[in-house]
Amino acid sequence: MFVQIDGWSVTIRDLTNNRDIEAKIGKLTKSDFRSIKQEKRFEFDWDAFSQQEVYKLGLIDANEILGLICVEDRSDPGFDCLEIIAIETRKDQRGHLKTYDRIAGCLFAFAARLAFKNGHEGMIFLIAKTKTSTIFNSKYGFDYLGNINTLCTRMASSDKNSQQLIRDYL
Amino acid sequence: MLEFDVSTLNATTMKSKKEPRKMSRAGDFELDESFVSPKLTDNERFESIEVFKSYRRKIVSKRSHDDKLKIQLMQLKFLMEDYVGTDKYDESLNFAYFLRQYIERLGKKNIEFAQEINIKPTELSQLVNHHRDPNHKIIMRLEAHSNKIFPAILWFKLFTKEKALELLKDDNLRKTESGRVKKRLQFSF
Repeated sequence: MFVQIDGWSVTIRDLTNNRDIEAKIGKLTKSDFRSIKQEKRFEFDWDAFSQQEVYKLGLIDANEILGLICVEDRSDPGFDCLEIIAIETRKDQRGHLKTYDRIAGCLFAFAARLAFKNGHEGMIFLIAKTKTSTIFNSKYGFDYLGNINTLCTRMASSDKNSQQLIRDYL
Repeated sequence: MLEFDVSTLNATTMKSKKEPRKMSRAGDFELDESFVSPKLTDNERFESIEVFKSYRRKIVSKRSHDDKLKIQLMQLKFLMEDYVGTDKYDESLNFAYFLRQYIERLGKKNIEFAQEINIKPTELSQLVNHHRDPNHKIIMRLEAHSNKIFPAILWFKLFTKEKALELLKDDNLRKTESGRVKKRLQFSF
């Protein structure tokens, strides 16, 4: 019934001059999928998600994609949440050489917003790599829901944490 | 097979307009925020869902009345924002619809809500039944009632979008008024 937004404005940080700049989050188009594959600036095989709900965070002026997120609505009884299937910041936007900050934070906050808008009461679920799961807890407030095995950890964002993500990043 | 990104990321939180509430711990400097959900066995998936269900129940049981209300209103606000933010039109998503939603989610009767925003119940009834257009006074009162959570500009944009749709669909008026124009540009873009 409700229409999908064309793009959502967010603020990221340009680390080259320490200024905030406007970026936009919107749905990934077919041509985006093609250019992501051709340009090879992302590591994950995003083509594998072409039938799913994938959003991009990009610079408005430069038409550059800096980050991607794939989400899925879960509406089984009790398992009522938005699941983050994948998230990736562009290869050159990681580590000490990155030129923009807040890319992942804005994508998480956008997911949090969707988790409210789509009727999941702000609840988010994800399965992260155990080795790197601390960042989701310490930086983005996700709760630990236990390990699946030695490599994977279940995590979730409550409605209150999702509200905080929205306040911090949107 | 697990599909995880293994590159490292400097997760230092730089000074920014909106500083995230939690600073990264020292260990986070080597962590990357990128991941792909691994393919789980049926049992692992089932167990994960059950664990989440239990977590969800616990969170829901602790919610206060205000928490529940906030969630309801937050959803409504995002639906409104997205609708006014898109070029698409939907006749059913008019000012009256969202006002009804606002009142319903507050759990109030129309008469009670009319008293709270200090208008006559008949005026509110006309507004929620799409028999009257909201004026600036009403829109400002809705902003004040919601403690600015639903700003006047959001209600106003919703209303103007409704009017834009009426204009777009009014072929009779278009035809009539076009016939009354005596001279027009001879080119188009």
